[in-house]
Amino acid sequence: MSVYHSSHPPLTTLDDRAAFEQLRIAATTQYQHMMSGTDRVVLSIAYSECTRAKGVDSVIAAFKAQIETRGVEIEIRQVGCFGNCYAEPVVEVRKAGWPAVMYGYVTPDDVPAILDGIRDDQANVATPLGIYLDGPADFEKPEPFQGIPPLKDDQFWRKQQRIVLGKAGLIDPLRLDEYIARGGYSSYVKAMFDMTKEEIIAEMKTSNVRGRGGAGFPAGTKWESALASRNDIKYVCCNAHEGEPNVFKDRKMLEVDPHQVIEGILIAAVAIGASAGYIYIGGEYPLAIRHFRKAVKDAEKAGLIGENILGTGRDIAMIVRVGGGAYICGEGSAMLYSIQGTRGQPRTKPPRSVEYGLWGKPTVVNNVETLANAPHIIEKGGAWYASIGVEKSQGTKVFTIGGNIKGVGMSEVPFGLTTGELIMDVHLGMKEGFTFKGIQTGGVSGGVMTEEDFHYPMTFEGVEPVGGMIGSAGFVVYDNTTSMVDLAHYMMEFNRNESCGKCTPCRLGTQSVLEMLDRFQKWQGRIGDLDVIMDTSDQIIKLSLCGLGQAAPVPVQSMIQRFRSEFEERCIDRPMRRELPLAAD
Amino acid sequence: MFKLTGEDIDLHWVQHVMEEHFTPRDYQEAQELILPSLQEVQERFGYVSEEAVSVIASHLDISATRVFGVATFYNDFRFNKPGDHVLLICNGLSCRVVGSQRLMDAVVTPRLGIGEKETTPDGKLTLQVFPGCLGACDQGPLCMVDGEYHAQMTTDRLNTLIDELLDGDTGQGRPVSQPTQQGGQH
Repeated sequence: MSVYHSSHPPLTTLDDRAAFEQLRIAATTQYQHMMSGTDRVVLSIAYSECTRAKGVDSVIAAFKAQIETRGVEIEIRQVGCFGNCYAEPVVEVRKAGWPAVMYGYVTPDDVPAILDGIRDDQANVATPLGIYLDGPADFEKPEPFQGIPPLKDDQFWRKQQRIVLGKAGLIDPLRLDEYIARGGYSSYVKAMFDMTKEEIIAEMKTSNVRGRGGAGFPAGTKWESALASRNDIKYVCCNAHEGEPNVFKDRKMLEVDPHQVIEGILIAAVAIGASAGYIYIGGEYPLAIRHFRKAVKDAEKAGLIGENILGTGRDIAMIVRVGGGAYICGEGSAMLYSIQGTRGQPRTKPPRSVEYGLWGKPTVVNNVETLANAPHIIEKGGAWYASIGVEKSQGTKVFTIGGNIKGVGMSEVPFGLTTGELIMDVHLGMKEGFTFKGIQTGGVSGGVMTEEDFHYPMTFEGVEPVGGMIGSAGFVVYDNTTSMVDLAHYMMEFNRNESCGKCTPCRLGTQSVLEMLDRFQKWQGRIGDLDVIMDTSDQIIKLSLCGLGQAAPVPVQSMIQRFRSEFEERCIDRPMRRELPLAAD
Repeated sequence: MFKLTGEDIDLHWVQHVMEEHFTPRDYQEAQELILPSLQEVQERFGYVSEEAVSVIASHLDISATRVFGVATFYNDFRFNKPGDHVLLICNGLSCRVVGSQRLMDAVVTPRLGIGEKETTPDGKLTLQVFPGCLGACDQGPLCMVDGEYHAQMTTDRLNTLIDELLDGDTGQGRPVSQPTQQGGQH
């Protein structure tokens, strides 16, 4: 007896809808049986680039060695990660008669204790994070088990509602059958057989799902204009080129659930009648690219992509393109140019890409997260989706938070939580020894928010009054050890390097602001420079063509407004500090 | 601007891979295949040379200047032979907040004494400070060596890592990877 490897059902080409339903039922039965732990205990270990960096390989090796010596039969699965990066490596145990138990901070030393616990029916060993029934963030709350509280009561999970991350950690990302077993591709089949194009788009419009890449344009409206466009050839293009500092939600989504993104692209393709779906992935994500390529291959083998899909006579091709490390290619039109094999420089709009996109054809360009929402909207209806979140910002949003904060990682919460709740509650607040100073919103494109702004709701419009921005929802928390001058310099340098050079205000303006900030960094600033920086920044914002230029100086402006004293301190002509009381006082 | 040294790139291999995986059906696909084929060459040899660009260009029936113009726009492409290992240091905002700059100042600059995209004199290590983000912000400060993440670096761990890289295989060249077969419609 040793580590058990469950067999993969062979991938056969599905000829029609009946064959798909058959596979779905078979896969569901097999998956549920496996997850119940009836035949054997199942260990699911979160495996990704980042857990590997935290030593998950040695944990797996320890489990394998122990299982071997003990002569028990246990299945080890590698799943995508759950999002609670701070607690990695994470191991989930499923045994018949137990709820699922999640252990965190697992080291090879914990392995014997966990295996002893499984043998002796003692779940409360090592560091259990919590128990759950179906998924970590589901609504069913189990009774505490052997003193282990439900995970739903855990601070990190309590306010989360998982839709696009619903399968994160529960399925093996490389297995098509597990995705199908959890309801995958059913929406795609439904959209293809049971719905007209107009109906699909109507659901998307009802849901009012807005673009998750930053701009917040309603996806349904975009799809509608693509459908209305009278052109034989249309494309769907999934923008998976994040490249933005501190944003990694798209990478995780491609790593933990690549099929969901494929399904989203396919639904969009069905809705607008596109002949091909493209995805443009940033080149710095080796694992995401690997997982996505494998998923595409499997879906092709199963006949869900390709020619005559499920006997409908419909052809949809899926093409994976990898970026070349230029940040600007995350901008829609630049990305399309990059796919076309040219330098990725944005162009003026209109015409928008939905009218004149890839190769001059109507193209729907959507973010990974937007498309990942589509299968759920088709499955449960637009009205259900619109009931989550708040007015104008419906649904959930995946946030990634970095910096010296306890709950570093990825969460999915409904829109409408306040900034304070997100940082101090869901992401567990500051690490010991660090105090909160500010939060960088929207990657490097938004303003800085401070503690005073904690009551603003996290919605597309909610954080605008204080210059914040949801953007791509990657936030960084600044603490007492970070220097604002240093960061302002860093961000301007980033934008200077990444400017494509097309618009003069962006190309030269970022450089001149950087030169001034250079002086501040060397304690050689001048008070007057601050006004010049603000003024120059205004010009860059007003006169640049694309989002990069329009957003580039925003963080710097916001930092100067909010932390002016830090900048003044570094001026050679700074006002005298009146630290000693004057005699006349 | 670039000193081009291309003697290590096996042009027959490039030609073979181009024929095998990057044969376009039409003009449109030929354009789309410029970037993937450049990436394939860089994946295998670590850099792209003028000769390789010529092979790609003639196979895709596009002018070499056009291909070169694309290659120079993108930050990922190298035009000089890199060392045996490539050390990428993430300079994303999250990594910076948790101390990537400290690693640069305390370890990289004093020990290696080389700048961005430069190689140590013994040809073992190429340094690249990644301007954007490697996308594993939860694990910062982050380094990447030959495609493998090394997370939560401290000065000690980075020192050990550099020791390993500098002591390792001597001048055997980069480990050769198999073609990733990313071309075409599949």
